[in-house]
Amino acid sequence: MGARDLIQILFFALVVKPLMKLLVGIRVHGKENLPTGQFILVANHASHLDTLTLLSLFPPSDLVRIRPVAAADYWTRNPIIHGLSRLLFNILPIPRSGITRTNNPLRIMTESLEEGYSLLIFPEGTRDYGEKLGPFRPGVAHLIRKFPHIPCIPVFLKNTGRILPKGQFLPVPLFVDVVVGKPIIFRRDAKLEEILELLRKKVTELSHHAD
Amino acid sequence: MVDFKGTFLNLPEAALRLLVFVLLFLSGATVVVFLLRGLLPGNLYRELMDRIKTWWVIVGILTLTIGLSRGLTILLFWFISFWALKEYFTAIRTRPEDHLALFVAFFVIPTLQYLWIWSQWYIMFLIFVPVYGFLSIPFFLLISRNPRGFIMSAARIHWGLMAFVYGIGHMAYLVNLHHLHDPNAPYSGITLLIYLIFVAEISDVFQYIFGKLFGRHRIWPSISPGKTWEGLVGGGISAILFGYLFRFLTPFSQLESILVSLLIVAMGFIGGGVMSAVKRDLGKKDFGYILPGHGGIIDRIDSLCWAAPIYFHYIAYFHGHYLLITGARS
Repeated sequence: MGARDLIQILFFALVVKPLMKLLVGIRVHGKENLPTGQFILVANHASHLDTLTLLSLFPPSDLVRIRPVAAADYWTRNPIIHGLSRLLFNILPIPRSGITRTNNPLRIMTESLEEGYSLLIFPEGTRDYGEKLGPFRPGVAHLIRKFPHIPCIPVFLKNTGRILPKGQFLPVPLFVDVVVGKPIIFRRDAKLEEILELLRKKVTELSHHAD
Repeated sequence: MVDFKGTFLNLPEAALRLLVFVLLFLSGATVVVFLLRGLLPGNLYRELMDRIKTWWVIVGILTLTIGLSRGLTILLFWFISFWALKEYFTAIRTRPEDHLALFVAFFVIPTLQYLWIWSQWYIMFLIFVPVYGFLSIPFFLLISRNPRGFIMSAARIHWGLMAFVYGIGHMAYLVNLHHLHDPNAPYSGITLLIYLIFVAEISDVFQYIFGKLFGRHRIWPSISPGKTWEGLVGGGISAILFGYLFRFLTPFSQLESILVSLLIVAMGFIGGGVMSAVKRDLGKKDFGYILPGHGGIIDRIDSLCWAAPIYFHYIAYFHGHYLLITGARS
């Protein structure tokens, strides 16, 4: 275990988890669906709180094997934000535009999965849709086709977009509901559109369990 | 009699007598429900045990904080208000434009209100939420420049502040009361607070028991399916009886203790009904899950939100001249 791992574990055990308990109070439905092995977790995205919420579902010692996939244009825009997000959350930055052969997001995520990491992916690719579920970008489906044996976990996050919406920095500490769906194993020959459609349908279904 | 004198728990003699009774009562309830476990349906047994366990925790927390210090007790009520607001604002519909007003309603107004309570600024405590809260929330909504849904947002936010910060704050202010001329008076703000909680909760608990045992005739089937006339009468009479027996916590005469207990029962019943109506309006069964067996904080304190201000102002009006410093900041 490296120094970075230790810092992340301590940061979550001593700061994030207590704060999430006292200020936010997360209610998890379907906790038993959280996998212990490698996984690709797919969730809706409305807030910076999403990553914090998802990471705090796991025991801090497991976090070093999980990387939240994050927009490089936002999270690496200056060295301080880049350094901190790498240090405390172990983000995996991928570009959203100006994609070339060398910085292809699919390649970056593939390498990470091959190294044994689990990934947190927000297929909407942005917080812009807020509490509504936007269209899913196809990258996640490409990834799943390459790694059909890794279970895909659909998750719905409720209220994070009300607590800390895009553009706001003052939190309104409502309760967060997290609904974890059953792991999905796709067929080897599943089509891209099929995968995307099913994932989006699953996340939408989970949103109905959030009350 | 247990003697806590010289220990860290600084509770008046009258409060200790009530505490002993409550502990015996809870122990009895635990034993009885445990012995009945074979006779009760499984889910009812679990609900009763959950409720009783939660009561043990509530009594423990209240005893510790009230016994430790005035400041800590006020902090506890700040936290109860905060948690109730969390449950309420999560449950109601809000607009993205309400963000700043909600932040103020969560952090600024309750913190200031409890600061006035702690510093015993009586006039400010009385007017802050109804006047300054009422005036400031719409101002913070104006900043978003969206008039659509404006009245709804302003009303919903202020309603929550009145019920859960202003109403509950009256319980916290009670701990400031003490006999201004007689330091040896057996009652004080602490015992008056405990008396209110005791009578209101005895009413709730016995309404539940009588309702479960004999409940036939529903009072408001469209609002609260659990409230029955049998429960209300049984719970009300129990609360008045206990309020009469435990009047040594208060300066009330015999007749007065009956009237005040009746007042607590009536206001508590209305408060419970109001919160049930809010839940039905929102299509929810409970406000939360922090208190196993009961639901959310609001599901437990709903009756107190209504009973506390009326009880407080009864005391302020009829007994305030020797219990309450009402002048400028003291």
